[in-house]
Amino acid sequence: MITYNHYTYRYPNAALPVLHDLNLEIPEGAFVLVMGPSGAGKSTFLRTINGLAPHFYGGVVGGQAIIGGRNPVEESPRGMSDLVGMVFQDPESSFVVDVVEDELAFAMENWGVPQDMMRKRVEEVLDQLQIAHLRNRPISQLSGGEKQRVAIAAVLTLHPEILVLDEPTSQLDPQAAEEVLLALRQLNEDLGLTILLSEHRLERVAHYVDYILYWPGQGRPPLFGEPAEVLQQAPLTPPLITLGKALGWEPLPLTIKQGRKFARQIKDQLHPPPLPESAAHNGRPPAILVENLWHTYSTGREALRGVTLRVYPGEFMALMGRNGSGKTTLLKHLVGLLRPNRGKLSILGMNPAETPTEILTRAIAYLPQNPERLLFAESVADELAFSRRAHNLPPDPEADRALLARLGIDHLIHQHPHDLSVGEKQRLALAAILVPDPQALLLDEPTRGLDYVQKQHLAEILQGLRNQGKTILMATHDVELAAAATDRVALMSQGEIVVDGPSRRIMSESLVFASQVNKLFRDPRYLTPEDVLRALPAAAPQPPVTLAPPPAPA
Amino acid sequence: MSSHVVFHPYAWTLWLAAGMTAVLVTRNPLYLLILLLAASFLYAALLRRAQNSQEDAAHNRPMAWKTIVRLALFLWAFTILFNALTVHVGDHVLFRLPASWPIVGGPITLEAIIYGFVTGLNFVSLILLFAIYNSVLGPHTILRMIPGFAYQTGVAISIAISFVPQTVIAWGEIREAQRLRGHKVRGLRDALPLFVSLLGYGLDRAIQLAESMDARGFGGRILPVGRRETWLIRLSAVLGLLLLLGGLVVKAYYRSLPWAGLGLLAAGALLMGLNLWRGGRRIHRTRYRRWFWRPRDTLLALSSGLLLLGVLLLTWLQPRALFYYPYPPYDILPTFNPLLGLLFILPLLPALLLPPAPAPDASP
Repeated sequence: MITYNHYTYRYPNAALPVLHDLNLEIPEGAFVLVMGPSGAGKSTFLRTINGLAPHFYGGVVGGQAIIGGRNPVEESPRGMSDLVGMVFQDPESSFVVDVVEDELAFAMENWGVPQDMMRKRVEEVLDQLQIAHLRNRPISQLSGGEKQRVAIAAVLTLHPEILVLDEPTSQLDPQAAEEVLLALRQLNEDLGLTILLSEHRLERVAHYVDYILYWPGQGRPPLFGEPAEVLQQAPLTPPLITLGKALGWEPLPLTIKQGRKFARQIKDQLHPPPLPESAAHNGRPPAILVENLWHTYSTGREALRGVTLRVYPGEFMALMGRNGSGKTTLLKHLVGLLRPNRGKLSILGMNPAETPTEILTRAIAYLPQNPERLLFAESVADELAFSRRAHNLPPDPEADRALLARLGIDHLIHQHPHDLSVGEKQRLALAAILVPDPQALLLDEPTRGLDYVQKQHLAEILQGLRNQGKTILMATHDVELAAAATDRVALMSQGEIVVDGPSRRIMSESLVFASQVNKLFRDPRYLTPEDVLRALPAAAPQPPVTLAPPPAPA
Repeated sequence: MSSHVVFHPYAWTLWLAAGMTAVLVTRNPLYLLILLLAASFLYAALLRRAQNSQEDAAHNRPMAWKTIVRLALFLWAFTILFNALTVHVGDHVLFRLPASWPIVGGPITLEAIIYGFVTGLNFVSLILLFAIYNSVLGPHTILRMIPGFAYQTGVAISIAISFVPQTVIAWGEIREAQRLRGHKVRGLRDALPLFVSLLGYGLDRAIQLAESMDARGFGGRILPVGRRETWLIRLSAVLGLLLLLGGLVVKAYYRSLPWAGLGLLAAGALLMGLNLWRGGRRIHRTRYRRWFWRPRDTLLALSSGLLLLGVLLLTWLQPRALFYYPYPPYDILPTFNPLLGLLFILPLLPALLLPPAPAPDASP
């Protein structure tokens, strides 16, 4: 179905090719997971399948790609559109009209497909993706997962044989991502569609894809093969596989069910340290105090209903819960972006309801969901200089550089923020709000769109800040990050706090919010692979489990 | 799936054409007020229906009354004030401003105020008619009535419309983000980064959309044309323009030959129209939505036709009937003929023809 022969592609103005002498054969009907660190060439590769590279981006092509018997370089993306359906990261940006049904028909109308045929195909895709109930809804009112399913349906109306998806879930919350991935799985099984999907959350897909295509980056050739085989060699892996590899489990378990067998065998050999006593606050006043907070939006939706929360100085707390449970609304109250209807707020002794946001942010940094919105200067150095000016601080390039170095992005100091990767942008945004040395840090979904390495970096940075005595409150869906880094977890639902307690206790009692490793052992002492490896007798084999870069090929 | 449009788009467009023509040829405030009242009742009926409806396509939601009323009051205030302050003619002088003041100085007359009021009435009626038209059809249905030759423009407008809600959201996010950076927007210079961000966002989105549209095979199928036909098209376009120009010249300078000028103009227009029609036929497009012509559409078309014909015949045969001019030597009181008044109630008819709001989504 998809054949690459000595294929080479170089972007215009680039010194080195992104794809170099690529040889690859993907059979018809295969479900392929495309993975690898950010910037390794996954997106570029996916765009060569329908010819967007080189047609949309320019550049130089060598060798040959044959997709379903056609050459995308000769046919152009428009010519390939009835063979290859392409879905992008942000569903919003692919919509042309405003109502679901019209959006599905729009491409066909432009192709001059007869009305009867259009109606038949629209009905079909509405059923295939189970979005018939959304047909008359305006697209702007749909949830993220619904939008992405509409985007998939819109490319399916032209009846492609290959579906290519470039990180379709990176902008979505876990529930929405699950909806999209299930829909894809069904399309692959029911229609035999060949699917290529790039995705960071391997734990959600690794067990039902047929192949994995792994791009190691830095110009090295990709690995292609069965999931277990490729994951054995790939350094970016979810905790279950990291643990499996560290303990030499064979065959490598891809699901919790498979992993449980191995876990039972080693459970008795483990000698974990006792659970730490829950930290006493010694009567210190909380850094963040929320008491009986209520908020109703102008639409009439009650977003917060009597929330009470205390975060103590130096504590790292995670706020978890479904989309729309009130996490973001709560965080926005703490920096004065929203005003409470009722209730008491105090953060580091200030009242956010009465202090302007511009003043508050000197003491409390807030990283919103789309960190790139925080960036607007001409260079990385300018961003930090801007922060200093905004907070009436004297310019201090030395301190700025040190801050960037602490976040591991000082080598980018002269770059334009727009040219950075998702993870780098996020770290720069973090640097920009950390300039006035705030005592508290609020983060809203900081792991969106990050790969495992970037997540690990983020966890290290946050722990570093916590160890400096900063108070951190983080809204997140990321169970593994919360398990690895936080001290305390609160679960929110429908505008209320349902549970609040030490991470180890909360996360091992929960079904949904338990980490992978915890699901293996069902014991509050094991939340992360490190917990398990530390508990092993010293004699046992203990290869490194940190995410080191893979050895260069000989 | 049937069209969710309440009236057939062509019948509805005829309604708009009739209403607009009536507003444009009428200066008599009494008739205009009747039409405005009729339109307001219709709008209220549409609003009520939209509130009961679960079929909540965003474009089918009429603007809130508040918005419309605010816009109307602003327009009225502006036209009345402007006219009263700049036109100093009339017998009924209310007061005088010092003559030394440029432009606004001089007598302020009742006539000028009334004239401003009538002008405002014209504007407000037009806006309300358009708001009603839009709330029934929505921009995308209207775009589908655009003939083939304007196809590219139609797609561009369509995209621009879908950009609006997301840009509004992005604007809010960027403003919040700036405050989070400790940035206080005081003057225009401080606001600059806001616009830069918004521009960058819009650009990014445009590139992503272009990429996705390319991948989805947009652009339509344009049938190729031969060399000979290309020349034919160019030649007839030039010829058509020359005919139009010639017609204008003849009409302006040779008053003794009124028919010659008109003839040339008509020939030029015909040639241009033919050309555009041929161009449009090269683009093959189909329409997904079915448009049904129901009995209520016939009624609507008939009533709209009656209004259109009525006002056109009146301006031709009885120009004084719809005429009104408050300044001397004319009478400050408008004339009124009850029969004509009835004609101006016709735009209300759709309110009586509206089907009940559809039940909440029945499909599972």
